[in-house]
Amino acid sequence: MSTIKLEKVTKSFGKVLAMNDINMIVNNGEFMVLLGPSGCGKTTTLLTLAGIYKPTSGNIYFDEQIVNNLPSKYRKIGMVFQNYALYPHMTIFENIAFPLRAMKIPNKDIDKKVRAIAFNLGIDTLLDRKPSQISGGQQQRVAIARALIKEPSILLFDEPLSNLDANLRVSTRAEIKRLQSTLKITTVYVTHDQSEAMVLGDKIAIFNNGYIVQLGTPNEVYNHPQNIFVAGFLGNPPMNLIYEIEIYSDNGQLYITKDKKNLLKIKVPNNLQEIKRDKVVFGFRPEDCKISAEEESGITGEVYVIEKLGRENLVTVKISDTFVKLFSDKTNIKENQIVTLSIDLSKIHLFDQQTGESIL
Amino acid sequence: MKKKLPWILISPTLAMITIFFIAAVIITIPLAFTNMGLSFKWTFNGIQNFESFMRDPLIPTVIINTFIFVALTLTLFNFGMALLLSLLTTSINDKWGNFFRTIWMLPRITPSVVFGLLWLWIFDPGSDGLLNILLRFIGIGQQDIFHHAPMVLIVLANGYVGASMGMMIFSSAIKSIPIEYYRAASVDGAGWFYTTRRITLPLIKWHLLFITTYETLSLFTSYEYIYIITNGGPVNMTNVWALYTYQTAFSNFSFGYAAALSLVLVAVGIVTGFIYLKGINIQTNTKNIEL
Amino acid sequence: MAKTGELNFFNKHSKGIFNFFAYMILIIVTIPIIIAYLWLIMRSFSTDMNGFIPVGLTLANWSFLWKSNSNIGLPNIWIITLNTLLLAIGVAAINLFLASISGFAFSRFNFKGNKSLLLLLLLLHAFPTIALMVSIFYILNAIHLLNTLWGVILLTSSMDLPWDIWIIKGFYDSIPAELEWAGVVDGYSRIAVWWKVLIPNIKHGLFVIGIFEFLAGWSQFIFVTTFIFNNSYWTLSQYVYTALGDYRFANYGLLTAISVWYIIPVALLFAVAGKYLTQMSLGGVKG
Repeated sequence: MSTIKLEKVTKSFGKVLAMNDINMIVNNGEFMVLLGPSGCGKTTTLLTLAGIYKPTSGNIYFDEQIVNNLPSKYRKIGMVFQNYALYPHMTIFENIAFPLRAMKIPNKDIDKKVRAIAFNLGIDTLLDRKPSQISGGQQQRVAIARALIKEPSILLFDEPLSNLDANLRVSTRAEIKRLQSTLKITTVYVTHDQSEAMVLGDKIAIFNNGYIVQLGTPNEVYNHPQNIFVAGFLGNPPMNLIYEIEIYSDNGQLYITKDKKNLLKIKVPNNLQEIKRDKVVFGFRPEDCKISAEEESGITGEVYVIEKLGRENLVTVKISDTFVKLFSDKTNIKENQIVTLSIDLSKIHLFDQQTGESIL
Repeated sequence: MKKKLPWILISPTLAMITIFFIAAVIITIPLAFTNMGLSFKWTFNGIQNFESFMRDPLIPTVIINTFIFVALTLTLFNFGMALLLSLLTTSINDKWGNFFRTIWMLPRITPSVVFGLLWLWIFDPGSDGLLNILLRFIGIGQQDIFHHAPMVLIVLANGYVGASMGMMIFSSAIKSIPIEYYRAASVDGAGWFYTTRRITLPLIKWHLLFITTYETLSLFTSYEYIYIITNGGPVNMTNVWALYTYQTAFSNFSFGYAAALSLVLVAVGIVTGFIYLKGINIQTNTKNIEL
Repeated sequence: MAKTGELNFFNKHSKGIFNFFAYMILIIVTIPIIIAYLWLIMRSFSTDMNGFIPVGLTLANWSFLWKSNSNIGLPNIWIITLNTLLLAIGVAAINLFLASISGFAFSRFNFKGNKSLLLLLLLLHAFPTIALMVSIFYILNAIHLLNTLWGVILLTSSMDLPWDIWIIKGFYDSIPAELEWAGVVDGYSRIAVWWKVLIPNIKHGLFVIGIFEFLAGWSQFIFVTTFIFNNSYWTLSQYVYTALGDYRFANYGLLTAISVWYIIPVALLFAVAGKYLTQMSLGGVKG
């Protein structure tokens, strides 16, 4: 197995800077997810690791060795592509066997290995068919088989689940996680789906515009986002963000207010004393907020819409001119009702409105 | 009036096609049974033309030449060079790939007489010819390919024009193969030759088949460049069926006999037409090389 | 598979080595073309050439342009050029017109025989003209068009018309019918809609056809040679051909000058639109 290190790697295509000073370490056997919106540089990074692109500057290390110029076929990697890239004119058997044939391994051994891996992935009955004759989920497993058959040290995935429908996605996601933890292969996985990233990754690297915006465990990036972008990207529904907030001190306590006229008074823990900014952004996740009993004090707002999701309700509440979402299992709430929200103060976030950086 | 509008619109086209294609094909048949000359008189002579054909001493030579010409030009250029060019130009930098393909289009758009002149210059048996300049430069003496191996000359001339069609068709087909296949193969450890053999070629096999058949038939009926460069000579060394037919008609003015010889060409023409139809069908229906 | 540490030079630079050989091969096979055309131009301005070096530069080879009925035994170049222009423009104009209206008919009208005629057109496109030369000689004579430029114009037109119709029909097909209905609802007649709405939208196809047919007429050789005997009806192709016969080993200067004169439109096209030639030839449906 391999460790991967990216050191100050940039990649430009003409004038376009796709990767900008990327630094990343993936430890042996780790599952690293590259997450971000489309065009953010995550796929470029993956292809650079695969050797399909060469870095413009910076170094890539596999196991302490610089591999910048090493051709793909010597990098001991297996790759699963977004559209699977199964050769349409070959049988499933031949598709899986392809890497071994390229290495000129004798036929007998090829046969054994292909059948073994096909059996492990549950596709051994499909070996004589052509890709067009099997389902999307099966194609995906064939792609994985092909990637694994040469016993690679590193496994690369390029948005492998995006072509599957929703329920297949969830079950395949679990299979991939199990596969990786069994085989313990160092894995780099690209996706734009934050729930996939949260479920699969040991670590997540969040990309935006060619930069890594934050890198950490799912827990870290979810509960301690370093900036507004990360905060708003993870979580479904995303974190509620209220802009134009000021911090105002009164009687030794700090309050968060919006538009001095419409005071939005909440107490804020005192370790915030030192911070005095012009404008901040106040963030809290839907699951950290509740509609409180009438007597308690908190932020007031008007119920805008109630979406019944079955196991709970998603309530959108209008607070001055902003909309926030929260979950509630109260059944007696109506539209246009004035409600009070109580927010878990240990889970709130404050961001500098100008830079987007996290303050709390 | 409304119902007739389309017919009115296509009537001039139909007229031209009828006169120059349909009528022409039809007339060829009775013409083959006459010995019409410049007098344009319909003097029927039964199967005399076909008897002449059997006894014509030039026919075996012409047939052999045609066979050699078609085989060489097809394998070396119209198919071979076309495939080589398309594989190489799609494997290198796109800009340079386009550059080379564009240069190879020049012969196709050049008027035939000028193109013929260029090849006559290249193989000029004297000291001015390109070939001889090069040969002198590397120490071998001058050669006279024109008189001693004229087939080389016409194969090259036709080949440099003919390769461009296959080149265009193959390149376009190769470019439509999704790049992910090549990325996967590259990661899987396949080199260029292996990838070409097991991925590129199988995925364009219908295009390969089409060009092979179409170009074979097309070469069988080629004569314009040969006419300009050697006119079948020297001493009929490069005379091929289509050219011989032409000479019979327009040098000897034996229209009847020429019409008889043309019948073979008409048959080839019809087959070519059907192959072409099938080929276009295949091209439009294999647009999606499924991922 | 070789271990990372054991890779040799060849492995590590396999892409570079491949590129080297690929470019080498491409250059070797392509260079004759480049050299030949360069020679053509250079020689036309040289008094003589020593290998590839012009001995002296001159315009004397071009004297056929201003010496009328010069001592080279060929007719006046300007009349010949005019004939060639006529042929080229004639073919282009006829095909543009006929392809526009026929393409329109095939695309927009569902008449009986529409499909079969289209297939016939495709078949004719692949049909070799040599098979019909004898019959056409007879036919041209019968309709009194033998030894006339018009005969050659009509003949050349007919040979390319099937393909042109296919291409233009393709362009028509890509315009949604709604555009026409909008025009008709707005009060225009079908013909007015055709002229004001459809034609502007198939401009690209017409342009491509126009250029290729102009070139087809300009380059036409075999029909001129076969069906025209009077040298005042010659076109440049015949002019060059005769010069080739008379002066082949004697005067490359004159020959190349005449040829360069002849290929001026081709050179222009290549210089301006060379990059797009492949797309255009492949059937212009992609424009």
